[in-house]
Amino acid sequence: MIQKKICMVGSFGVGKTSLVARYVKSIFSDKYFTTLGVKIDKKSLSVEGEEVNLMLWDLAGEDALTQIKPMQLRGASGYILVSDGCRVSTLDAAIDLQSRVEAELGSLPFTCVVNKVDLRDNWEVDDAALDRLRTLGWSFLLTSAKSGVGVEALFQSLAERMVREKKIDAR
Amino acid sequence: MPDSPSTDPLGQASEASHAAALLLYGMQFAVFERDGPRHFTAVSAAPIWFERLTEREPATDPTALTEYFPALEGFLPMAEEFWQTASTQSLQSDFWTEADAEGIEYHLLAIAVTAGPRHFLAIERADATYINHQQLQLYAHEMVIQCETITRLNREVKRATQAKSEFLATMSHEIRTPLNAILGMADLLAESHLDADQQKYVDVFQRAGANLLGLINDILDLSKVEAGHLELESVNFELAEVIARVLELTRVKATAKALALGSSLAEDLPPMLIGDPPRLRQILINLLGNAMKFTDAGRLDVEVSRDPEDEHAGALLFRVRDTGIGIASDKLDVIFENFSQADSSTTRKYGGTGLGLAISRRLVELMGGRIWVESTLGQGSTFLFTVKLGVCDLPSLVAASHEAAARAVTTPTDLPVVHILLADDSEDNRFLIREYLKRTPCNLEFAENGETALGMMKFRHYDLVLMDAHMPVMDGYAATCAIRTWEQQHGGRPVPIIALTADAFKEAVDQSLSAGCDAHLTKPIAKATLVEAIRLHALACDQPPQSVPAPIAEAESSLSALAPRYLENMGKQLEVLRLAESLEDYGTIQRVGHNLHGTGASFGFPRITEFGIALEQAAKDRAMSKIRTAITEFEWYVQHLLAV
Repeated sequence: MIQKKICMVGSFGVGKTSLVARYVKSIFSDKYFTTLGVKIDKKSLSVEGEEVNLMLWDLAGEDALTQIKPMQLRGASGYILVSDGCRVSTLDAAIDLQSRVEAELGSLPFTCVVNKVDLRDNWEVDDAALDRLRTLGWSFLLTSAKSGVGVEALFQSLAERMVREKKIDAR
Repeated sequence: MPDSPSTDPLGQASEASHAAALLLYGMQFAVFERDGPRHFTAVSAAPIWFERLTEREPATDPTALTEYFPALEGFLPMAEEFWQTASTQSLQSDFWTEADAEGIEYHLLAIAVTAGPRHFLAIERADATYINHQQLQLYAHEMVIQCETITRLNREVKRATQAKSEFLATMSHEIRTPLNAILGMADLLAESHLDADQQKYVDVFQRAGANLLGLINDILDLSKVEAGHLELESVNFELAEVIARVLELTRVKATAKALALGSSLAEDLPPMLIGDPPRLRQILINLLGNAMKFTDAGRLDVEVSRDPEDEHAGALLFRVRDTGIGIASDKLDVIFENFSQADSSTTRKYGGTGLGLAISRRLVELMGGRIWVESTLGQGSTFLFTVKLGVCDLPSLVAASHEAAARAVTTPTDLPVVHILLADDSEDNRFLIREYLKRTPCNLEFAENGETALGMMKFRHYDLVLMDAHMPVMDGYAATCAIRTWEQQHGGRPVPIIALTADAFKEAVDQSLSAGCDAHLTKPIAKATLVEAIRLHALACDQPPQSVPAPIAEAESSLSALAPRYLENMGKQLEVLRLAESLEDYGTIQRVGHNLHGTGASFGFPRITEFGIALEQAAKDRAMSKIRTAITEFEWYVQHLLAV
């Protein structure tokens, strides 16, 4: 069995914990609890007939005082940059965060997520902002932890890309 | 606490340690001794929550702890370093969260401590602390989100205001262009032979047009202030003169209503101030106009004193007092809002849009002051406002109103022969200007757009170009630039170009000047203004004798007779210089300097030629302080001459 660590990173309140809860437990709560430190969940899935055990490290969201701890990123095989479509500043923050994570971990598979697509009518993130992600050459997904849109595909596709990466082995 | 643990966790424990184990079972801490790298042995019985978490999955190496708690991977390397150096008493990890098989969450902390040579690791269940921290962070996040929302709303409001301001600028152009034709035709009609009835109709026509223009100007002013486009001037002026001018403008109407009009200025006021006299006048005229509207008998007074609440010498308090209908006390604040009057029924009785006070309030605020009103219903009102102005150290230069002298009456027929090219796409405006200049010796030719005008310029000499800003094919700005370039390439003297636009914003003036125009007239253009501008600019330019020899000689011989008028027109040159100075537009300063240089001595003022040379040189050298000095001296000199 292959074990892979994935880090959920992004600004506070964008829905990192909710995405994991939707994926692992198929639940969603509207109530916002900010995450302190880290919360680790596990979920197994099958990639090309092989069982993969994902360790989902849900890291505390960044704010003015809290920054990602490089120590918590270590050993990751991939990461998910989460932003909130209703707050364009969180997408800018995700773009900034990506370069810091890459400096720490090197080049790894990652997916950028613009979350809360169920609230699309209230989005600040517009087509121009999404075009910017395309210009960066990023793979990105529009998701909703509330409705579940894109969540399964997010983890499945990232897991597939990580397994294909030969360089980083599971312990 | 359960009655007893199912097994003795320490195996061979004594009675005492068994009792301790019982106590610890319900405790918050699980404590381990580190007896090798990644090897931990429990020093006491594990609490129940710890057992719940370790029960979830069997570990191949329970002593490493990281199989139970992967989050420790992030902490243990730092703890190892701490145990080796032990520079502090203890080292604490970040929170991490675990859930047991039933999904109950536990918020944990790891703490590394040293006791002599021995190293310990405690894992604490810290739910209460976690929830406290979480609560604090929630508040912080809520504040950040609110802050982001406010910023976003601000941005949206700003965008909307800007859109409104742009819309108004466009509308002003669209409204002013036809209004120009209407008012111009009314002026011409008034000059023709009319019977008494017809004269009355034309009077109404003219008055209504002027009112409409006034209203458009008010709306424009307000939108400019709101959009932050309005910039105040900073020029030297005499307060007494501003008040005299305001009273002079108000007197006709006051006399018609049989109202007495008076003013008093405190003796300790600085004689010369620095500020924006036209805007100050605008506030006073608004307040007096308002007072007059609501006063049927009695008097109106303007009083100025030092602001008793501000020690600065330039802090002034103005009072505009009337004996009119007064304002109810609950309406005293609302009257300064846009489109607001104390009682909507007054709009029908007394007219007005309620914009005057709103504009006045904003102008007063721009001048660093505030405006308010004191009133008793039925006994009159006093509008008070304060402003903070600069104080000028120069001695008082002008005894009498030179502004009044500057408003010389001009008659079209004493214009010299000038060849004028008018570039304007509007047939109405071409007709209007032709009619304006019909009885003058001016020779007028027309171009329908900037490109045609440019072509005509290359084949003929004109003494002056009147250039509409907005035209199809090539607009006035582009045409002016092209003409200036052509002149430079062919060594021609720059022909004076006067821009004509319907756009009253300062940006439009700046745009014409930076395109290379010498002056800017805002439509609707009164006949007198046009004639005055033609006189000023056509004469201020050296005219090459080869094009129209006879009339030029005639003009030159009449130059000294025109000296007083030439001097009066220096006021406009000064305005252009001040504007160019504030914009650091060296090209315009150089051009005006060149004009002064070339004309001063011819009109009998060699000193003006000297100022011209100094300005021209300073502009070439981009020496702003020299330019400022020259302009100030020039201003002083001109005002001095005018006062004589």
